[in-house]
Amino acid sequence: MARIVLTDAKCTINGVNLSDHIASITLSTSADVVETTGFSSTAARTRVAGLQDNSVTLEFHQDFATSNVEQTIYPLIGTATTIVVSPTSTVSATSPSYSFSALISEWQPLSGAVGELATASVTWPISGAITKAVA
Amino acid sequence: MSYIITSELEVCNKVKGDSITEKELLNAGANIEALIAGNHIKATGGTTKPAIQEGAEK
Repeated sequence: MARIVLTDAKCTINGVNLSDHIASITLSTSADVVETTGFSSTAARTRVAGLQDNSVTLEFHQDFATSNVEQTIYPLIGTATTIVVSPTSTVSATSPSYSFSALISEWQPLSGAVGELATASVTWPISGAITKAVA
Repeated sequence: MSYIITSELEVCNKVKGDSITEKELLNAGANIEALIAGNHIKATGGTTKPAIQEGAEK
């Protein structure tokens, strides 16, 4: 797989495939930078990686229909839930999946202006590590 | 305990009308109560009856 235009990314939340109601996915991972500089002749700072801090940002198209976006997310508010994301709906050697436990720390049941699509844009912190898998 | 998928959306790679066991849901890391609350699954009532021990009052 070469460069990729995202058209078929997949996102399941608590096992539910909400991909067709998600317009944007950003999975972010970073590590604290811990300085280890001591006196030395190189006169340059040295560092090592510390704790990782991961998060996922999703933009939903809100839908109040039975067993859709609102009914899926609302019962999960305040809990940690399993989320799996992948660049394509089929996981392969060149299209990995990333699974993790995210804390559903915020939700916007209703957001939007007159004439606009009702959306919900959220950033949820990830609890623990991200597991990357390929087929 | 087993459940039937009632959701219009795919749940743990299964579609509406499929059965799924509690073990499959737990292995997928699913929050079963939230799935029931969201009308994604419904218990099929296939619970195992506890065996009545000999001599016990029925």
